[in-house]
Amino acid sequence: MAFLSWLESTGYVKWMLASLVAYPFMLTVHALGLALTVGVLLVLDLRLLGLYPTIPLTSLDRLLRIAWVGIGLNALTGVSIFMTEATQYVTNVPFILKMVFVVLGAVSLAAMQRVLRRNASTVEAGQVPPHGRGLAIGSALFWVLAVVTGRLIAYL
Amino acid sequence: MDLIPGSAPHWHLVLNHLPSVGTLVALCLLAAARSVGSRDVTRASLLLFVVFALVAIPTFVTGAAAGWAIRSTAGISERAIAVHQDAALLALVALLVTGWLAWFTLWRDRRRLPLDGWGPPAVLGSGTLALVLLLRTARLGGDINHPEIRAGVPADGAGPGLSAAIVDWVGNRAWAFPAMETVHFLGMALLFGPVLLTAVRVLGGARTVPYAAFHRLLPLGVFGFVLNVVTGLGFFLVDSGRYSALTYGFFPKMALIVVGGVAALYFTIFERLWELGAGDDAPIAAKAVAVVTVLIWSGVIAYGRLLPYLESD
Repeated sequence: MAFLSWLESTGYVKWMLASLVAYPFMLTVHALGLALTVGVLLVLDLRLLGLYPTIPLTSLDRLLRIAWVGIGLNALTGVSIFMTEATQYVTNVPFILKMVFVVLGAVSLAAMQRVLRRNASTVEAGQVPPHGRGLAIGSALFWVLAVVTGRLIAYL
Repeated sequence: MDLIPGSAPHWHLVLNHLPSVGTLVALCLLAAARSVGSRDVTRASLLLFVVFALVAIPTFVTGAAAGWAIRSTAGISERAIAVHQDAALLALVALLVTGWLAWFTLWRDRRRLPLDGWGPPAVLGSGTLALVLLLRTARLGGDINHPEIRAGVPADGAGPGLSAAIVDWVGNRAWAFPAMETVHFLGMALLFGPVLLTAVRVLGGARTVPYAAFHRLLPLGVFGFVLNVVTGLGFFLVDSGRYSALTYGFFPKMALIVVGGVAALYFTIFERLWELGAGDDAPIAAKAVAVVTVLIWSGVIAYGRLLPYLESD
C-alpha cells in the first residue's frame, strides 16, 4: 500500500494531473489502443474459426503483430492511468478482473503466434493448426471480457 | 453575411434539406434506373442513399440542439418540438435502414451477384417509407415556427412520445447505460479492426493477400458502425441538452463520422482497389485515402473519449 501511495505522489503523476492535456491524452490513447488490439484480434480470431477463408492463414502471423502495438500502447497508458489512483484501483474488483483478462488475452496472442509458426506446413496447406480454434475462442472471449470489466471500473 | 452556419439552429436549417430532398431525388433516380435498366445509374442512386443516410445523423443532432436553443422563445411550443423530434427519430431510423440496404447492395455487387436481385427493390421500398416519414417530419417541423401553416390543432395525440419512452426505459434500469457503453466500445473495435487491416493492405503490408479478401471484412465494420449509431442515439436522446452544449467535442465527432462513412464507400466501390491482386501495389491516391480514413476514425474515437473534457466556452 505504501508503494502505491508513493506512486500516486510521484512527479510524473503530479505533472499528469496538473497538465490540461496529459491525462485526457492518456485516456484517448488507451481507447485507441483498445480499438486497435480488440478490433484486429476479433477479425483474426474469426479467421481462425473459419470465417473470411480468402484471408490466407500464412498472413496471420504478421497481421497478429499489429495487436502487440495496441497492447504496448495500453500497457504504457494503463500504467500511467493506474498510477494516478493506484490505491483505489488495486481494490477495485473489475480492475483486478480486467488485469486477469488482459494477461490471458496477451498469453493467448503469443500462443496463437507460436502455434502458427510451429505448424508452418499445416498453415501453408491452408489448415488451421492444432489448438488454433481453441486459442481463437479464448482470445476473443478474454479481450471482450477485458473491455466489459474495463467499463465497469467506473461503476463498481 | 454568414454563409457558413455558426449555430446549431442555422446548421439544422441548412442540413435538413439534404436528407429530405436528397432521398426524393435518389428514389426518383433509382426508379428511373430500374425502368431503363442502367446499372451505373442504379449504383449512383444507391450511393446517394448511403450519403444521405449518413448526413441524416448530424441533421438529427443539430435538430435536437436547435430545439434546446429556441425552446424558451416566445411563441415556440415545446410540444411541437417534441412531436417533431419523435417523427424525426422514426424517419432517421428508416433512412439509416435504407442507407444500410443500399450499401449492402453495393457491397454484394462486387461479388458478381446481379443488381437485379432483391437489393434495389428493397431500397425502393424502404426508401419510400423513409421519404414518407421525412415528409411528415418536415411538416411537423414547420409547426414549430411557422404560424401561417399551423392548422390550429396540435399535431398528434397526447401522451409521452417515442424519445421520452426511450429515455424512460434507459433511466429506469441501472444496467442499461453501462451495457450501452460496453456495446459502444465493442462496436468501436468491430469498426476499427476492418478499417485498420484494410488500410494496412492498401499501404503495402500483407501484400500477398488480394484486396478482395479484406473487402469481405467491410460488413463486420459496418455492423460495428450500426451498433454504435444505435447506442450513440441512445446516449444522445437521454442527455441531448448536455451533448448539444459540447460544441467542440460532439459536433466535430458527428462531422467526422459522416466523412468516415463516405470513406468506407470508397473502399467498397472503388474499381482500382477491387482489382488489387496478390503482390500488387495500390495507387498513391488510395494510400492517401487509407491514411486519412484511419486518421478520421481515430479522430472519432479521440473526440468521443474527450467529450467530458471539451466543454464549450
